[in-house]
Amino acid sequence: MELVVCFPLLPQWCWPMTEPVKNVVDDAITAPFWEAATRRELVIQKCESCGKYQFYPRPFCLQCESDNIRWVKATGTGTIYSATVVRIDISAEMQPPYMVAIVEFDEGPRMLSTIRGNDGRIGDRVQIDWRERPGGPPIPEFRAVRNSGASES
Amino acid sequence: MSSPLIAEPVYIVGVAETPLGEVRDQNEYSMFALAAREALSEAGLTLHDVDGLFVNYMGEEGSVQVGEYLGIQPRYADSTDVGGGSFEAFVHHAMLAVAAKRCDVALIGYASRQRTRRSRKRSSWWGALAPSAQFEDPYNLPVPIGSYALIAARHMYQYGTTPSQLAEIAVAARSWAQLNPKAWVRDPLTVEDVLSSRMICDPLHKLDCCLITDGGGAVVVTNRDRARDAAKKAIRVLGAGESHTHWHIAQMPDLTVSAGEVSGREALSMAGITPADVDILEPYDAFTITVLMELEDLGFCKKGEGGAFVETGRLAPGGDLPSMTSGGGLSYNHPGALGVLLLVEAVRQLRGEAGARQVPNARIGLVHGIGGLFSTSATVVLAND
Repeated sequence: MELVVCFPLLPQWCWPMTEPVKNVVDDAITAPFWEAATRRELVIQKCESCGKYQFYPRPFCLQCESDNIRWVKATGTGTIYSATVVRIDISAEMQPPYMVAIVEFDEGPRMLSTIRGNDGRIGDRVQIDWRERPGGPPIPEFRAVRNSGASES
Repeated sequence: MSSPLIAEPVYIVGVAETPLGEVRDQNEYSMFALAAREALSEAGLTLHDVDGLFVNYMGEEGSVQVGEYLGIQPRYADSTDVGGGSFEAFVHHAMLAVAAKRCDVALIGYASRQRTRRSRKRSSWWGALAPSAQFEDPYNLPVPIGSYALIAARHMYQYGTTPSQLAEIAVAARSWAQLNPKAWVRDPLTVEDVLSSRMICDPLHKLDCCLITDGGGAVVVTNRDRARDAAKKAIRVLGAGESHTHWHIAQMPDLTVSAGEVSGREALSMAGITPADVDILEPYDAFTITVLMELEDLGFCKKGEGGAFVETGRLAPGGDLPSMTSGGGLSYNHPGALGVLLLVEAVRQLRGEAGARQVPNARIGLVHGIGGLFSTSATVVLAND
C-alpha cells in the first residue's frame, strides 16, 4: 500500500498523494468488518463489559473504555435517521439522483449508507443489502422494508 | 462591564479585510500581508510589534509560513485547525495568551483565492488515513453540502422546520448585502427565488448555500496598555468558548444539536451575559440551516423553534436581532474559511463604522464560527465598553 512508504512521523504529508482506500484495506483494526463483508455478512463490535455496540471499529469501548470487545453479527435491520437525495454529479461511480442516508442499526450505532431505489424516508425501517463494486468487497447498502409512500423529494 | 473570568482585559484593536471577490493581482501571502498591515495600522502597531501569531489554511504549518513571509518570530504560535470557525477559536486562545502575558500583540489572519484557483472540491476532503475513506467515501455524499442536507432533513423531520423558513435566512442575509458595497451579490432576493433555485441535496437548494469567493482578513488582539495607542475604538473581548463533536457526519451525536451549545454556553458565561443582551449577531452562515441551528444552540430561541424564530424578519435590517450584517457568507463573501470576516464585521459594527448597514447603538456583539460538517464551534463575545 502507498501508506507504508509515507514518512512515518508525519503521515498527513502523504494525504494529497494517495487515493481514498476503497478496497480491503491495510488496516488491522477494521479488517474483520471487510472480511465479513466478502461473505455479505454485517459485523459490528460489542463490548463484553458493558454490552454496548459500536461502529466504526475501535480497539476499545467508547462507552466504558473496556478493551474487552468482540465482533458480532448484526441484525442488519434498522431505521433511517436522516436522508438526502444527491442531485449533483461528483463521481464517476454513482449517477445522480441517489439517496444517501444515516441508518441507525437496531443495535444502536449509526452508519452512512445508500438507500436502494432512492425509496426511503426518515423513520422508515430498512434491511441491509450489499452493493458490489469493482476490485473490492461489497459495501453495505439498505432498502426500505416498509414503504411509507412516495420517495422523499 | 467586565469579564469575571479574565483578570486582564483583552481587546481587538485592529481589523481588516483582504481584497475580496476574485483576486488576480495578489497571491494569498501578499493578501494576508495587506490585511495584517492595515489591521496593525488601525492599532498604531507594526509587524515588528507582533509576538503572537495565529494562522491556519495557509499551507502546512500555517503560522510558520506566514511568520517567515511577514518577518515575524513569535513567542506564541498557534495553527489550530477547527475549520472555518478557527478564527473565533484563535480569539479565544489569543485572549488567554495575552491575559497570561505569553504574548502582547496577537495577529490572527487568513487569505484564500479558492474562487480564482477553482480549488474547491466536492468529494472526499479527508484522506486515506481517516476511517471515512473506508466507511463514508464509497457513498459519494457531496462534501460538505451533503452532510448539511442530512442535518436539515433531520431538523425538518423532528421539528417541522420548512424550506421557506430556511429561505428566510438567505433573504435576510441578502437584505444586509444590499447595504454593503463590498458584498459579492446585491440583487434583490425573495423566498420564492430561493425555493425555485436548483435543488443540490434535498432539502438544500443552491441559494441555501454560501458563496465561493476569494478573500480573507486580519484581526489584532492585545492588552489594555497597547490598546491605549489604538487609532480606533478598542473592542473588548468579553468571553470566548469552543468545542467539537464529530468528524464523520454519521458520528454526530444528534444531527439537530451542534457543538455551539457548548461553545456558546462557555462564551456567554465567561462574558456574564445572556442572549438577550446581544445587539448584533454574526453567525457562520455556510448554509441557511447552520444559522437556524446556531440560533437554537446559542439560546436565542428554544431547540426546534428556530424556524418560527426567523420567519418574522428579525434577522434582517430593522429586526430585533440584526444578524449577518455584512450580508454574510450567503451574500457578502465566503472565502472557504469565513470566521475571520465575521470578526471584522462585528468590530466595525461595534465601533459604529458600518455605514449604511450600521446597527444603531450596537454595544455587544456575538460572533459564532463553525467548521467541518457542523463539527466544530467557537464563540466570541465582544463589547464596545
